[in-house]
Amino acid sequence: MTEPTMLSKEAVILEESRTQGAAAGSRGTPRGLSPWGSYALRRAGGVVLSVALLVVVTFFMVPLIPGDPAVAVAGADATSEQIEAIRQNLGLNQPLHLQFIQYLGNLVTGNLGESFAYSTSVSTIIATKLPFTAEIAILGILVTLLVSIPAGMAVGIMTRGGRQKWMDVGFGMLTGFFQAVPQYVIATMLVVVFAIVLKVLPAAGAATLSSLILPVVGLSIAPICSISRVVRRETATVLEQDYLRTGRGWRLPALRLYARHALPNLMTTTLTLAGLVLAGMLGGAIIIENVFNWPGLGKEIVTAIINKDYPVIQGIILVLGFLAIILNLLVDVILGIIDPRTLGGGKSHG
Amino acid sequence: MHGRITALGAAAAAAALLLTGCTTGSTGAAAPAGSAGPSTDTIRTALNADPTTFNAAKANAKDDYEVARFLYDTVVRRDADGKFIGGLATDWKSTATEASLTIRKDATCADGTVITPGIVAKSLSYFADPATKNNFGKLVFGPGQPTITADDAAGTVDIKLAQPWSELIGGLTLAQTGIICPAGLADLDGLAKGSVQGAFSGPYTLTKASHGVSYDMTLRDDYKAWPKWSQEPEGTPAKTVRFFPGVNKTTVANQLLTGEMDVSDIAPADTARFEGNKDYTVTTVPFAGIFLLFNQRPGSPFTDPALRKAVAQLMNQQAFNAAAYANKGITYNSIVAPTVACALEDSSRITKEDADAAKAVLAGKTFKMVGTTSIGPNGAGSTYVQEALRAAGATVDLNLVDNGTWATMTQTKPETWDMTVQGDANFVGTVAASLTRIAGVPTDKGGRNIGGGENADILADISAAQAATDDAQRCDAYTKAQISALEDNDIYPFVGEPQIVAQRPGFSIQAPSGIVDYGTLRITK
Repeated sequence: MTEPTMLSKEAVILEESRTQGAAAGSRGTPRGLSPWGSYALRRAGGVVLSVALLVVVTFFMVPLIPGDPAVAVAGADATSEQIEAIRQNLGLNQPLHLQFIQYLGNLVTGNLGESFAYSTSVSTIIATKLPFTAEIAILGILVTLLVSIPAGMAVGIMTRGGRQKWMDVGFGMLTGFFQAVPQYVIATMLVVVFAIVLKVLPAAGAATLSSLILPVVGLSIAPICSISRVVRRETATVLEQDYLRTGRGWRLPALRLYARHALPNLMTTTLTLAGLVLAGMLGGAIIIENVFNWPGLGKEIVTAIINKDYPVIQGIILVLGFLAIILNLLVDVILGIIDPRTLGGGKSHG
Repeated sequence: MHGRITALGAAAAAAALLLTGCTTGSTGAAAPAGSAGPSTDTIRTALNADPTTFNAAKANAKDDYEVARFLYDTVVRRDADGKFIGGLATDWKSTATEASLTIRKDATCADGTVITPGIVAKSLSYFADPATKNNFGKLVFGPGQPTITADDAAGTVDIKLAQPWSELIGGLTLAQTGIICPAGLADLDGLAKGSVQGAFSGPYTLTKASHGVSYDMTLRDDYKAWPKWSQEPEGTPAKTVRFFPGVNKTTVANQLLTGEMDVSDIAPADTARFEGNKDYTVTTVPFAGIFLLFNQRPGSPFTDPALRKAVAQLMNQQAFNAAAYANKGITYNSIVAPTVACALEDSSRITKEDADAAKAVLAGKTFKMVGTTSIGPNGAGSTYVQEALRAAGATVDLNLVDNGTWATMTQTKPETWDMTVQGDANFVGTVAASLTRIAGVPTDKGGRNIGGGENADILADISAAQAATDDAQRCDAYTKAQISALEDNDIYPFVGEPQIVAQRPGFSIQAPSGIVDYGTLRITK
């Protein structure tokens, strides 16, 4: 029997890594539909339901915020007649169900309404602020993935099978610590060190490209710690799989073994987590935006809540909620492309 | 599979880069501290929030009238010593019931239209019109509707008041009375958005407005109508003033120290970062009077003067100042700042501390209190009052809420509170503006009186002051009213919430009569 060539060895390993759980790919596929067709149908229904729920909950939840928007708009020196006139102008005297019907009608035409507090439309406010939030969120998730995957894999490989216990403990402690430190503390420390003491980066604002660095770092540190811990754990599990043992036995080069054969099997969990982190970054960058005076949606929604600016609150929640739904869908589609077994709703290996 | 992952990563990176183009600029790193920033003809400053409108006549919030000062000229201004000087008016004569203003001939709107007396009269009439729903009309013109007429040939504007109101000229210094040019009055929606360039009568026009990001105002090349200062402010007006809205005050302090901001308000707790730093100038003025206000509507326990006195006997101005404003608050002797004309000159009329006497009255009593989280860190001002009463054996159910909710409760739901720590921004700088918080028509019936007690004696004194023909008569009446408010313990004055404006080297601003005049922002090097 002749020894297999390097290429045919890899083909065997790849086949081994794919066959585990392959049967799951056909599970749950309705008769007559391809896996992608069935998947699209299922997910489209889910998206429609989620968006409908989002619209209803957003509309009816926001008026529960204590305080009268008309008083907030009128200012401290307004008379009760002025407040009443403003309430009438804003349509707040109408029954809630009529307001909802009007809201739905506007939504259908893409109109998110006019801000109560400012002389501008909600769409303009969101269109101005969303790019800022999206910018730090996308850069944040890129930095997170670029740092956490290699770091988690490296530690996973080096501590494989109980090797270098000290490194495992140290890695766990370090990532656990930075994961636990509140974001505002990390952000403040970044400002103190890099802006106030060293004076190498701006303390706040969005005036220059270098203004991006501290907010992105501040936003990424905790997710880097979380994802690298997951990657480290997943790496340890993957490295114990038979196909990788086979690969090592055939003395495949380390880089090729880990990058080509181990990494793809980590991606399912990592990307799922990254999708959730990105959705969280889009909606939850409030602290970072405040510390760094980054003019994003997080700051805007806090101001809108203080102002009782219902249309702005509803518009931002709706847009962020919709983005979260789309991001989750996108992650699932990407996972489907990477590993078609996930299309059937079954759990892929990894 | 690798190709797919790489493509996804590249797509995300490309998206981020594209967004970078939409948002941040491309200039280099932060200007080092001590430098003049991006260019020496620009001043960068912060706003608390986005202006709610660029229509001066509807300016209700601090940020609204701050930007209005740049965009619109008023007929009268205040000099560095607080005295009135000409703005668009070169001369004026006034009595308690009328005034006549002579309008300068060299002033123009941003679209080149000459500002005539007719334009001034139309703008002031729009400001005074109840349909404009202005919160300040009554503070400028007093009760009732004024009649405002122009004589273009004589170059004058005449104002006849419905009732005596001797503080008209002071009221006309307010940025809210800024003259709106005809192009603005013809397009009120555009005026509110700041998009009608021809609406502006002041030295600047709004050239860029990006909600929540920044606003640029550009100095008009053709502008000549600067006020007739007794001494010109040192330095030159900036060609561009850039406003950054909604910046946290501690973040502003960081930016002032790193050279990313030039002039801005800072928080009291951050003052220490600038003290002893000779490069920075810090100007402190009282922004809002902070006092303990009792609900005196029927049904409230504080209709009883003995209870009000007992609570006042527990209060201590210094302790409140330490709790709420890191000792940076400005001591008040009365309901108004010491810088306001006719304010009491010492604290002798304030109820003296007497904890033992207070305990005897208050032990076992329960009160409802509503407070705003914006007075002191997380509402520390209200917490101080709650703790002082708790130490005397009383129970205070404190409801700490945000500003909007607090305004709703205090102005429209009097049954929800017995006392509150009131923040009173006295924009016109008159005794009457603050006294009407505790006298006259209650807020729930359309007036300004938050305390709700009628206080007819105070009202009579205000009327006497407004009908006075000279300053001495007016101050006598106001003194009587202030003493009455303090002796009856309608309020207990704490301190003035400080407005602390820090200026980087090379920049300055003035605060005549304790009111910051944003129109005096200058580059001094």
